[in-house]
Amino acid sequence: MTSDLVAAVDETAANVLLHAAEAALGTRSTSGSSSLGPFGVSYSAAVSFSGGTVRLVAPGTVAIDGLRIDYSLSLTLSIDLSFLDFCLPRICIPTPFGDICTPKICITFPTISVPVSFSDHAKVSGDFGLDVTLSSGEWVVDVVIQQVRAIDLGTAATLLLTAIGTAISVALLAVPFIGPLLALAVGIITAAFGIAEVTGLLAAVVNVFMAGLRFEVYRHAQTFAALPAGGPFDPAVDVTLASVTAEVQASDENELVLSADI
Amino acid sequence: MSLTQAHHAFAAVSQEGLNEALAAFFSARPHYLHYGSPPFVVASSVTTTLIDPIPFPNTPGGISWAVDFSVPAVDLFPADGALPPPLTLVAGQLALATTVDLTIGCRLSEDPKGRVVPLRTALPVVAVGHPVSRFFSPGVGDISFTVDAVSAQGVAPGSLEALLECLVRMMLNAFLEDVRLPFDLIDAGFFKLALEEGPLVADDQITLRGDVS
Amino acid sequence: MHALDSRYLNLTNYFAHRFTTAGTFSYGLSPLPSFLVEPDRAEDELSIVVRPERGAEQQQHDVVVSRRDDGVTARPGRLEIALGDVVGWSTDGTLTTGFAVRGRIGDTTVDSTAMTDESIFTHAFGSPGEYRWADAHGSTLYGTVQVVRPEPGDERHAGWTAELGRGTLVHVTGERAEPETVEILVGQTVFWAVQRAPGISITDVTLLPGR
Repeated sequence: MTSDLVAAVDETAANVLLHAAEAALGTRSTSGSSSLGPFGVSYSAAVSFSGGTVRLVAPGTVAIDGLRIDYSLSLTLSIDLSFLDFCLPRICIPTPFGDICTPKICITFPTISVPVSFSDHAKVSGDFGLDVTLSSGEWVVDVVIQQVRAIDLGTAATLLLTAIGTAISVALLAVPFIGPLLALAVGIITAAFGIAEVTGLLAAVVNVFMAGLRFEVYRHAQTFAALPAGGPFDPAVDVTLASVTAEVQASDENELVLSADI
Repeated sequence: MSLTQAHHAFAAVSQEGLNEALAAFFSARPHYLHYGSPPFVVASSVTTTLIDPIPFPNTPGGISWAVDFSVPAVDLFPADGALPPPLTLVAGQLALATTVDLTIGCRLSEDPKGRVVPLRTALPVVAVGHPVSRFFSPGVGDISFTVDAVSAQGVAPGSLEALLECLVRMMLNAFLEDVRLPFDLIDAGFFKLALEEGPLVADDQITLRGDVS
Repeated sequence: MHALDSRYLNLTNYFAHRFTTAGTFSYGLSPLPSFLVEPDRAEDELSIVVRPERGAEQQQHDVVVSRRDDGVTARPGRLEIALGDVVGWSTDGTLTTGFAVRGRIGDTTVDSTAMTDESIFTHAFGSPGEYRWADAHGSTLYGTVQVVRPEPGDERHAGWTAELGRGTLVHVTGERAEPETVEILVGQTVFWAVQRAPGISITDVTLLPGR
């Protein structure tokens, strides 16, 4: 043993530390734009992380399987309804002043914004590396995403597709002159995208949060009071962590090892 | 063999790390190493501890005295070298070397002012002991040290050697009782340790094992 | 979007007047009171010359009101018609604010915001619901238009686009509407024919404070 201090956890304890780090990360938010078939989508999203199972892989990989991402999405779809444009015909009726005819009136349909709110969760598996930094007098060890191996959206795509269809119907109901064109419009619009496009949208949002994801598993002041002041003649006993390293060591069980020199 | 073995968490301080921690402790709180009665020490402070003079009949003010220890150097099992007989080091034990300066205020004969002259002797000693722990709750606990035997070399007759060895053992245990190294120093604050095994001394390190929360 | 209010004519409206007096009808197109409006040079030139003789058959003439770079325009800006002909005004959708037709011919005031006689106002209803309407100028005139969206299975659903070519008449005489209540399909048009009225509007009651 060459370091002054060594602290190590096996995979069971590493899970405990990671789950605490996930909770400490709290809720992350972002916004952006994407597409759903031919339609533009802007979104804001908030996510939180929990669970997952840690596998430690020497020399420096923390693999997390089944990391749960709970997300809340606010989507706004922009749908150009100009394909519905039509004209009211010239109408003639007899009146006390003789037959009177209105002119043809052409109705142009606008681009509507369809809001959709949706919440669900996904499970992500990825490989994280260990990053040790000293910043502003604190040692910090993060597990930092290196590669997303899999994203499992569960049934979210199907549920979201249904939610979008419902939202589109509601939004179209409010469009003047849509009348019985409503069913036609809903059919045409919802035929323009399906499960694949919704899956792509959800995966894109999840990937935005996965990019650069890091969980802080350790933060400690470089110089700290190992013993606090204990009276007028017992000042604090300060110790300085001159160096900190983190790695995964392999043996009969893999362990996450933090080493420090004082 | 893994570090955690049958447990989930492991923390260890090396011999070198332990000596650096002790150096930091005694640097911040030197009064644990320096004791004296007046005139050697007139008041307790961060650097010195005031003790009473030794009372004796017809000795106004008692016999003044002082005891000073050098910063103990710790050697964890296995020993770095041979220990003075009859001391031996086995697994679970640590050796501790220090120099004890004993001083008395020697009253000059028939000095009407009762002035004293300090007479000092330095006594190198080696002690053998073991760590003890206190565990209160996850992440809250500490280790300290107990001396089991002391060897003072080159003291004669043997009865004086035995007397001094006992005296030094009592003094070492007295101040070592307040020298406590918290768990979150040993594990560098990586986790809150629920102690299940240790402190063990082997391979030049003190180890703790347990679970985390 | 297209509120029911004859005081502000928009894309879904048509206002027509039968000219039964010979002379020159000079008019403006702003819905605002004239003292609030800077005279528009184009509006000074809007006129309809009514010849004293009738034509072989009653003719209907359409004027399209538009927003152009030089302001609000009417095409044609000048018309010459026979006595008894009808002139109607509508917009092509470039005018996002409402417009009104106001002018005089002889002793007769023609005002689409306060209709008296020989006037037609139409409104195409784009959204289903019950529309209660009344006169914004305070007379006792009122009525209701029920607008229905035909659901699949309703025979009117399949033939909806053909139904759009059918209009419904409400005859306003004085302060009475006949019928008071009509039911139409979404997208269809109601025609109000106004005779011997004290200067009335057809206005959705939700737009009238205190109603």
